[in-house]
This record gives sequence, structure tokens and C-alpha cells, in this order.
Amino acid sequence: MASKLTINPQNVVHETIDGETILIHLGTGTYYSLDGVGAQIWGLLAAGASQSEVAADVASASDADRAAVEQAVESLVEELLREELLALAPGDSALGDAAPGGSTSEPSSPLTASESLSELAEPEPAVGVPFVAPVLRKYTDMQEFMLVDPIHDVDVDAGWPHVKAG
Amino acid sequence: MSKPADAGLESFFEAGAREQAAAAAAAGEHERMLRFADCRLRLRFAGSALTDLITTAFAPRLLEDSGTADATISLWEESRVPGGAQPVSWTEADRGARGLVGGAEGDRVVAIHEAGSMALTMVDRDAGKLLYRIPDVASLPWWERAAPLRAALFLALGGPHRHLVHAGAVGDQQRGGVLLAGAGGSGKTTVALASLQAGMSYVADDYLLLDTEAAPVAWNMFGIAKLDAGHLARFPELALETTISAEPVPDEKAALDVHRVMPRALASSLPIRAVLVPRIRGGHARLRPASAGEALLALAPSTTFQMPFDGGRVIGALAAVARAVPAFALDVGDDPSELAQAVDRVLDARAAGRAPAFEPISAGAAR
Repeated sequence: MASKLTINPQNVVHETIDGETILIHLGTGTYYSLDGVGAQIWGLLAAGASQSEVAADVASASDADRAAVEQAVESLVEELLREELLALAPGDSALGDAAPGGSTSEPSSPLTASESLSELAEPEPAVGVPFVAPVLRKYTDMQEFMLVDPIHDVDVDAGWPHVKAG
Repeated sequence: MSKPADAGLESFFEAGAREQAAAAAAAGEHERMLRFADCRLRLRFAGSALTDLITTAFAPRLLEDSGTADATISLWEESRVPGGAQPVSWTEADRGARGLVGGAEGDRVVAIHEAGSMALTMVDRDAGKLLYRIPDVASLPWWERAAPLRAALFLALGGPHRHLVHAGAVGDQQRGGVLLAGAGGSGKTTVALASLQAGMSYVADDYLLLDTEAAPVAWNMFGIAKLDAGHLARFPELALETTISAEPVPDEKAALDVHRVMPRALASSLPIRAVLVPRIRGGHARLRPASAGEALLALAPSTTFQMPFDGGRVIGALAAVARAVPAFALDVGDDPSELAQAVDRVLDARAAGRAPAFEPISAGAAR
């Protein structure tokens, strides 16, 4: 990944709690969860780490070889981009740089010099724990809230905002 | 999404305020005061039909006095406006999630134009004034009758530590309550009604005001519970007390006026001791351990997608609750009395500082 990554600031809110990350895409009505190393990767990305920094951090804390971790991180990042949870930051970018993304409560706060990535990312696994490839769980049962009414309920002849009779 | 200039919304708000005044002059002005937690709201109505409708839904929150208010909501029907109501100044393309128009950081005026009910809510954030316009009372959908003004209350009552959330709460004053978390159809109302029938206190089955400044507290908002066909079959005694439209639409829920039917059961607030995540399973009811992440997964998406008017910031407060109290999943079985026992188990265990028993609950067992 040669471009900066950022959390989609307009549409994504997220929280990590006890090693589980909940992500909500406000634009699509889809929500997601990550746990284990997936939550760790998200935390690092949210803290502004580049993809390569994430892979290095995760590999150092697990028993997997670096190539396997890089592959897993790349795969997850691609999926997060595809789901529009991550975005490529606009503007010039240095290879491997990352743009800090917004957390829900405190959107888009950049790292300060005194903060380390590992301090900001949670959870922090023990060194040498077995590596389990991250899985992004996707939930679509609430998309109806995003698909409401204007299309289905509008009176075709009178137009919006007139509601269909009956 | 193209967005009209905020200046356009501001002038539409001012025109709306004049429109409401004209409707009130024609149909008669009525005023009511409501209290939610420590927040006092003044409601100014045009006409008695809308007054009666809203007063019924918020009966538990009515105040007798007419003192100062933290915010004022002016309400009227388009059908009461002499000469007709002004058309909205935006198009369908301007409407974002759940009808939100405007709402960017720093916008003084925000509008929420809900499709379906066509209820229009506008807030002037600087002035603490809100407007609520509906086409007319007669055409208002059942869900807006049972739980009206949700967008207005979300905006008027919301703050750093206070949020309108999609959740239920039951319990009692001695042991506190459980927060019932989950999407529609997960079993929140079933557990709330079972607890109500077993003699517990009821704060909400669907929407409540959550205060997270210190230990989490759930505050009552509405006096009406909404029962679907399954609830009516499970709770035949409560079903006798429900009402439904003269010509109900498909999937319309019956209204149980808890405040009127069981006034002593309705609690103004309960301190929250645990999050309970019900899920319809059948068989015997059973508690299971749940993680804080599961609790947040049950709480945050349904609230955020139904009321996305703060850009989803509510997730931070909900996470605080999930961190503050333990969570349990509840397999909702076939016997409602087992659900009340499950709530009892959780509250007893929390009062005793231990974990609840997780074996299946038998209907015949002593509570």
C-alpha cells in the first residue's frame, strides 16, 4: 500500500472495548466487529500507523512469520477499504505513511510526539501469542434504516414529500 | 449530498415559527411542561388535538407548574395553518440519513424531515428553540403516536453525558435495573412486559434517556409500550388493556398505556446494574455470559442508525455503559415468567456482588 490510509471520517464511527472493536458505517447502515488481532490492527490504523508499521507491530507480538502477518494485514486493509471503513487520504503521501483517523468520541486527533502507537492501539497482546488471521464480521440487518421511505413511500404523481395513499 | 445553505434553513425556521403562531392563533394555544431527568421542556401547541395526542404519550413526564424551561418546542399541524403551510425549502436529494437536512458541524439550524410520518423537526441550537410540524393528527402513523418527538428530544435533551437511546429498562428501586439492548425484534419488549407483569418497575421497552455522567441511569421518556401480535398472544392480560387504530395498517402495534393502566409500575428512573441482551430462542429461558463488546454491538448500531443526528457520537456513551456494568445474554424462551426470573437473577447477583447462575430457568422454580 503506497498511499496514506485514513478512517472514513464522514461515515464511520468506532469503539474498541475489551479487545473487541465495533465499527458503524453511517452511510450504508452496515456495522462490523473485529476481535483479537483484527482489533489490534484497527487500533494501530486508527492511531495513524502505516500498513507496514502495523505488520511489524503485529508480527513482533506473535509467533507468526513476518510474511504471513503482512499478507493478513494487507488482506484486512483491502477489505476495510472495500467496505469504505478506511479511505485513501487525499493529497501527497509518502510511501507507507498513514493519516490518523477519527475515533467516535474524539474525531481525527493526530498523534503527538510523546504518544507511541502501541500505547494508543488496543488490545495489546502478549508477545509470542499464536497468530490468528483477522476476520471482519459484517452485519447488514439494519440497512433498512438507510433505505427508508423516499423511494418506497413517495406518491409517484405528486412527488416528494407527498406520501402514497394507503 | 447537496445541502442547502444554512442561511436558508435559518429563514425557513423563522418562517416556521411565524406559521406556528398563526396556527395557534387560529386553533387555540395550549402549553404543557415536561421533565426528563433534570431537563425541563416547554411545549407550545396549536390546537387541542395535537395537545391531547402528545400529552397522552408523555403523561408520566408532565409537570403541573409552568416555570422556566431549558428548551421550548412549538408544535402544530399543517392543516391548522390559515392559508396553508409553507412548502419545505429543500428537495429529496438534500435529505440525509433519517431525513436529516443540514447538521454539519457549526450549523445553527438543523432540520429532520422524516419520510413516512412527514414530521418535520427543526432546531435552532443557539436559541434552544425547536419546531415540530406534522401534516395533521388524523394521518399521523401509529409509531409516531406512541413515541412522538424522538428527533426533537434527541436534539433537545442530548448532551455529553445524556443520550436518547434505543433500549429498554426494567428492575426495581431496591436493586436497580437492567438495560435491555438489541435491535427491533430481539426481545426487549417481551422481557420488559414479562417483568412488568411480574411486578417489577418499568422505565421503557424501546426508548429511554440514558445518563452516563456518573453510574449509568435510565430515565423514562414515554408512557406507552408497543405490542405486536406475538406480545398480544404471550401477554393476554396486558393485551386486554391495549388499544389500536380503528383501521389498523399491516404490522401496526397495539399501544399499552403503562402510565394509565399500571401507574405504580412506571418508574421515572432506574440505576443500571447490568446490560441484558435478549435473543429469541424458544425453550427455557437462560442467561449466558456476554462480553462488553457484545453489549456495545447490541446497543450502538440500532441507536445510531435510528437517530444518526449527532454523527454517531452516542457510541462513546454507550461504550462507557458497557465498560461500567457487566453484560449478559438472555435466551428468550417460551414462558414469559422465566424472563422475569432471569431479570431477578441478574439483579440479585449484582446486589450480592457475584455472577448470576447460568443454568436454564424453570418456570416452576421459586424466584
